Amino acid sequence: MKYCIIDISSSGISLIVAEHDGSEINVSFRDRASLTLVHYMDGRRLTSRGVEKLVAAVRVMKEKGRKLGADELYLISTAALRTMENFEDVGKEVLLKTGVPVNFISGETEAYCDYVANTGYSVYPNTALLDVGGASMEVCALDGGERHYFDFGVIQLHDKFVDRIQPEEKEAKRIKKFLERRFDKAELPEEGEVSTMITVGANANALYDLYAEMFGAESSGVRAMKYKKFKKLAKTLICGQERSRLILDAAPEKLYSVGIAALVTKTLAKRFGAKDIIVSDHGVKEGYLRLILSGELIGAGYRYADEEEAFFFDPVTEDASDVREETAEEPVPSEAGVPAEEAQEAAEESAPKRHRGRPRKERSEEELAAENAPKRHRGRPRKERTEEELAAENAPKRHRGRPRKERTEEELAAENAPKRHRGRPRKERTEEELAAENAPKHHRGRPRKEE
Amino acid sequence: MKIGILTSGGDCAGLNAVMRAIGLYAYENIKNCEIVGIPEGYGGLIRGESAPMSRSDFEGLLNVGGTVLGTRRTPFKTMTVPEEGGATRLERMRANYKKMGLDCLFTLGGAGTHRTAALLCAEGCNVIGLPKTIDNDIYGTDVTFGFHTAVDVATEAIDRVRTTAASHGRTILVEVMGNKAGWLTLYAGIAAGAEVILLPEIPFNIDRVCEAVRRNYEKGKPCNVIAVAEGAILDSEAAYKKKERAFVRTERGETTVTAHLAEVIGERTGMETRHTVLGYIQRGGNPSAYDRILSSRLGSFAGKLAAEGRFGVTVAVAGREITFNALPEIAGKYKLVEPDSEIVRSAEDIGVCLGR
Repeated sequence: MKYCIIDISSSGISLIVAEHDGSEINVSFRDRASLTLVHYMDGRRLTSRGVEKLVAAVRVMKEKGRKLGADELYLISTAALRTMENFEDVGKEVLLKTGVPVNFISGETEAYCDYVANTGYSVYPNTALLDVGGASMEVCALDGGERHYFDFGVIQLHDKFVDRIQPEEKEAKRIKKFLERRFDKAELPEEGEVSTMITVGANANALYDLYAEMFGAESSGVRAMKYKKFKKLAKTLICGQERSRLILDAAPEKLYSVGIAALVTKTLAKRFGAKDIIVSDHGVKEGYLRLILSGELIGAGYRYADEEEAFFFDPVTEDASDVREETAEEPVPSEAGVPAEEAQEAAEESAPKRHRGRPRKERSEEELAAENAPKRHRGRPRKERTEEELAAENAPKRHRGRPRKERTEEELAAENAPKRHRGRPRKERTEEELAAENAPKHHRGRPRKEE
Repeated sequence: MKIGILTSGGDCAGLNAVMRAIGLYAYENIKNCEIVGIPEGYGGLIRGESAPMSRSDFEGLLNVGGTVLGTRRTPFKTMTVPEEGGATRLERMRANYKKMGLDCLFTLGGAGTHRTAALLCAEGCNVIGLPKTIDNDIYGTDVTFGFHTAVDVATEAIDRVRTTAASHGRTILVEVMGNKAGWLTLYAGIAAGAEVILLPEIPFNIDRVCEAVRRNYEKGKPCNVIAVAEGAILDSEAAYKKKERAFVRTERGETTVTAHLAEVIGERTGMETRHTVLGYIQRGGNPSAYDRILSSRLGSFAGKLAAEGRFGVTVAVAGREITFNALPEIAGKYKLVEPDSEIVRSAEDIGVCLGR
């Protein structure tokens, strides 16, 4: 089964396509596009232009997932949309125009997704994971130790300390002091307690791109940044002549955030005494997928197959000359002991029901079968399917990710038996009456499934 | 509010019309507005030159081609290189922006101008870009001002070439501007009924082109007109890097493929073949009615963005609406002709050869 996860962040939209073979998740494709939502804000509301851009970006990514053969798609967003005043309206617009529901996930969930995605790094001793996000930050020990969550991220630091777009030297010093105070207060590990520092997230990836642009990528293939070189990068991003060109070339969507992200990373790396900063390939998208597949999280997904196989029901066309004349029904012989009138009422009630007001012409069984057979959308060619495929398709489906307990045959039978509406008192009925009532009914507009 | 306007890069019809719209909007709607024109594009900003522009300076510009402020090409790569004194051009522009006391700077230019505008924006200047190019290759906008006037000029030129080609039974190649993007060649070629259109985005096979020319003559066509973009490349050259391709062409004594292609077609088909380069007439002249309207709309919208305090963006056309994009999103990106797009397919469906 192939999954596509799309993540909307404050500066871009990214996608992974991953295959799940029952036990392992293998990411086969990654992509990213720039989308600086901050430019399309009016105060704390996303403008209609911003929504257009967001919808267009989601459509492009959705189409990429479809072309890569994904079966199911999940669209997630963290602080980027969550912090907007009109985030619910934005979510509705995205759903309306793309058909894909937006799953808004909290900062804590996001951090947990990062943790779940990176537990593989716990083979390294004393590993700390850092995620510098837009609206929150997290530092946690990958060996199951302490997890520190900070309710501020790059966006808040920018709003609080930075006057223009990128921080100046004085502003950088103020940010550093603020961070050191908060890290001391949170009693984060100090030098010697952490051997390996792993960073995740879009800001970490942007920092690596800038590092590679300045110093070249490490030959080992691991995305690691040497602390000494990273310090030079951080200094360039604050006061270097080339900083704007460097950012616009390598990470234009991170113009507002990468300088601050570099400060945070450098401050922590210095605190931990880390000589290397590893940038993880795995982030919130991978973690989210793992949690969905394990059932720990339930998300609203989108199935590509639903889009391709829409069913359309032909409206019944009525011909006035074919209107059946209402004939008086013959009185039903009453059962012994039952008044004739009551018997008549019971018979009338149990007779097959028709939609009031619109007379239907008599149809043969073949016509009814043809009318109620599953229909296909005109003009869209459908491939031939075998009976097994059709049966598999029409079998009752269950929502993936939600574990279902085993049920006995009796429980299943009881669950699938016809149900009655609670709260409406029903009088006792005989078996014949029940059978007549449960006989197939004809309701316009609703397709009949194969029995 | 103090506004600065500059025009940078190659010129085109519509620049004056856009400036007029910005100026009139500002004087009509923004209180205490002061506008300065910066001559010769970013060069003027680097040198710190400017001249005040009153409302009357914007009158009479709607139907005038070119730019009254003058323009120069200032390559993006030179912006962050330290010069004498240690300061880079970017730093000098930023310092002059502050010295002039500008609240907003309008930059009218193409893709390169937008890259520099994004740099200025990243350094804290309030910049609004406007998409100017005859090539229509600025990312994020359906059309740029100056494009349709250039299409009209190129179409008329190709129409004129057709009459002489038909009279002599010749094949004439017309080289149209468009180094990276083939929009101008594609539109002018379709509008003028060119039998073959060659674009930079679709490396062409010389055998197919010769075959198309031969087939047209066999069908009884009196001539063949081939619209060639200046950036068109042979499929055998497609694998070369830009410098290698330039070297190969220099060896032949030319910078574009047009002359070489004309020679080969003449040899293989046996028909008289000529070529001509339209050149700078495509940039010149007064703007068409379409470009006047578009320029007025873009300039007015840009003025509105400034009044709202929305900076770091560039004005764009999306469908029928005028809207905007964030500068960092479009800086450095180009909008090229998709080889499988509807317009290309429809040209091929009516028998136009694209060399593939």
